[in-house]
Amino acid sequence: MPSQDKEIDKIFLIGAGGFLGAVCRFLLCELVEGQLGILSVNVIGSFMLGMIMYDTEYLGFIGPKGKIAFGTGFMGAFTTFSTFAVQSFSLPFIPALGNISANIFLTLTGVFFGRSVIKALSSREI
Amino acid sequence: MFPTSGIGELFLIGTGGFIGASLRYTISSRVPKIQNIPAGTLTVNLLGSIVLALLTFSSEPESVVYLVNIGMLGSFTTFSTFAYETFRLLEDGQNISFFLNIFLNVMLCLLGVSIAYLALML
Repeated sequence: MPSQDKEIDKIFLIGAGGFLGAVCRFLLCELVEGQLGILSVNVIGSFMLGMIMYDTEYLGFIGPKGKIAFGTGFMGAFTTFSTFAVQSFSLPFIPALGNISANIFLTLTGVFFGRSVIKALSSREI
Repeated sequence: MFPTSGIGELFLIGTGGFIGASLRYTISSRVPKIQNIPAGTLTVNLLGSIVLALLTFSSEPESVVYLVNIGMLGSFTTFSTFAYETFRLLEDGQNISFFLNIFLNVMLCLLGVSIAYLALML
């Protein structure tokens, strides 16, 4: 069944991206410790995912395979929600609130900047 | 058994990342949107947060931390897709879904973590 083969290919690409994404997240979090480490991977990853996703709409530089390997695989694994949730739970109320707000606000800003970069590049290409 | 630092530790994390990312895709792509809310991402984030809390608040060998906690569960859950999908809701003018998606992800995952914590304390 060809469609099933394609699904296996997809899962393998996502897994390979996930391998690298997880390793890169760990390495960056070794440099920047604690909540700031998770905040920085989440913000950087959201910015990059924003670029990847809007690229497929405005530029088309990244193909469907690249989108799945780098977007779903790498950026999905590079950023994390579970560690963010456990860390926020373990913090006192005010720092927890600060951590949650910073992650939400800065990752959304990251996606917006990713989109802005792609839109600026696509308008220059004419 | 495994070296606790260096290449061995990175390999464990990467292997966990491979499994976690593929599982995330397999599960979240099967969950449809519910009232504009990307429920697939919410599902993996909630499940991953609960399991990570159960493991974090109980003691376990170090090699498991690298493979399962950091590698697998770290990659199973995602913040970038959550941020992208949430931003899309705002861009599409779905303001209520935008706030609801943030609220549901944060509140349900924190609630999941608290329940896991309390369950281990009992």
